[in-house]
Amino acid sequence: MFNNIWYFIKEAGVNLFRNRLMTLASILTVSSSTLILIIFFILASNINYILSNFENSIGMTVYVSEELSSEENLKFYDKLLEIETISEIVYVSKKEAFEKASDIFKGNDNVLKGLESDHPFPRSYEITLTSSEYGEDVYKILKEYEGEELSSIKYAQSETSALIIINGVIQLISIVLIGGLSFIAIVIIMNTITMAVNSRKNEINIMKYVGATNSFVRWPFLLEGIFIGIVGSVVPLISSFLVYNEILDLIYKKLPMIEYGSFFQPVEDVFEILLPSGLMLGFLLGIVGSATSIKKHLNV
Amino acid sequence: MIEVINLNKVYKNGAVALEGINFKVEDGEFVFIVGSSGSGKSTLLKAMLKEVNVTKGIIIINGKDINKLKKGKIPYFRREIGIVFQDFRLLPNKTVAENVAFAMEVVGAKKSEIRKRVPQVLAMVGLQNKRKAYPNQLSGGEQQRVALARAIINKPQYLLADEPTGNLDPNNAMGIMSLLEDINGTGTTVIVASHAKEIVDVMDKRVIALENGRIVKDSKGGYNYNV
Repeated sequence: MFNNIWYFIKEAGVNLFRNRLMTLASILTVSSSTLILIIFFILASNINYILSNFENSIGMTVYVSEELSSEENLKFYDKLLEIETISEIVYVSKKEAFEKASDIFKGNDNVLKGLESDHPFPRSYEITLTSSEYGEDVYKILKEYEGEELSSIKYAQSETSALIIINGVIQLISIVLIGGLSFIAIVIIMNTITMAVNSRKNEINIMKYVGATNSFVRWPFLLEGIFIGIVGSVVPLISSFLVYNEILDLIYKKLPMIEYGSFFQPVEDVFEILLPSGLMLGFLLGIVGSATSIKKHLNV
Repeated sequence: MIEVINLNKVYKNGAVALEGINFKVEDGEFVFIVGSSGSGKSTLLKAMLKEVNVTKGIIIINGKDINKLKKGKIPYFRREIGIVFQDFRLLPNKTVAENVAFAMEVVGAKKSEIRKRVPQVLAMVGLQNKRKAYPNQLSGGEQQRVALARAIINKPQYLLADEPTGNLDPNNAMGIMSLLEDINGTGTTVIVASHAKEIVDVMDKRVIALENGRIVKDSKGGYNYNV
């Protein structure tokens, strides 16, 4: 096979050029199908990003009992560290709790006047979970400490459950739509390549008569398919990268209060996944499409 | 040597294409297979090329029982056989030289070898000045010469021609026959399926006549097997 590699590349190149209208049509077909997939992927991945950001902002706050000594508090902190589904624990001391309250009541200094030394704001731990789906489990564990180490637990149970459901639904829709669109893309590409193969079945037939092996016949077509698939995916990948980047720039310019990466998924994060998977998809679409289309012509 | 023993071919729709075919072709022979349309000539050639599978019987070519040939070995077997069709089957996008070189590229021949051999073969069929022309710029006779050049470029031991003069005027047809005779003169076994009575009569070679899938004559002489 390697003896013939230049022949295959030359043949594929010549055929792509000679059938340039068909080549262009195939590339456009792959491009448009891939573009739809990319747009959907960017949308789904942004929705997911926004939801997971929101999820992360919902955590749990546990208030430490007034009676708990510093030593006991440290022991309790160790117990919290043992819970694997907790990703972050921030300790808020009494002093910090007062400062936070002061921030909230800024401008109404009278409210907190005289309470500096003896204020009612308890020590607390602000807990972030590895995923909101563990909220219920962690809540149950912490509930056991209530009345002893803990005075109370603040947990946005219903909001978290709603988020989990929304996220699940979006993921399901994403899978169904991406799967469906991929299938449609494969069918369209197979159809286009079948047309290209059909227009050259005479050539395949002659190749078989003069003693060409199946792989010899197949390789130029596979290379053509790979070329069409990769170019067809590179074009929408580059254009969607530029457009997405431009849109984000515009949003951040017009709405300066939105911090970069805080709401929309950064362009580099999206394309870190999209670029290799898009190229792989193009490669596979091309190779599967051409291999399937040519198969029936090889039995001469 | 080619040996065909009790060959039968029945198509899926029940049509009997060949029935009890027996013959031997010695190396270096020139044989015509004649008969009217539907007599089984093309099916016989297709069976010899392993393009169709026979229902019963044996075909031995160069010591190989081709019915037992595995799928992957068919291309290598076909490289021992040159084939020419009535409709030439040239690649329209390739020049004369490229069409001929194509058969060598397919079998993985070296470029230097291809560069040396193509002009030789084109000279042999009298097309050395047309090597850059495309098939649609050639006459029917010239196109068949290109097909012949392609068929013999790999120096096959056998040459099968299915109605090679079917699309040609008598002059061109005789030209092609004389080329086939030259090729036969180099030691290649030539088998020609034809229903061109005048040509078969003039050539005066061995004739195997088929009628309704059966051999009705196998002898030297002209086409007219009913006499």
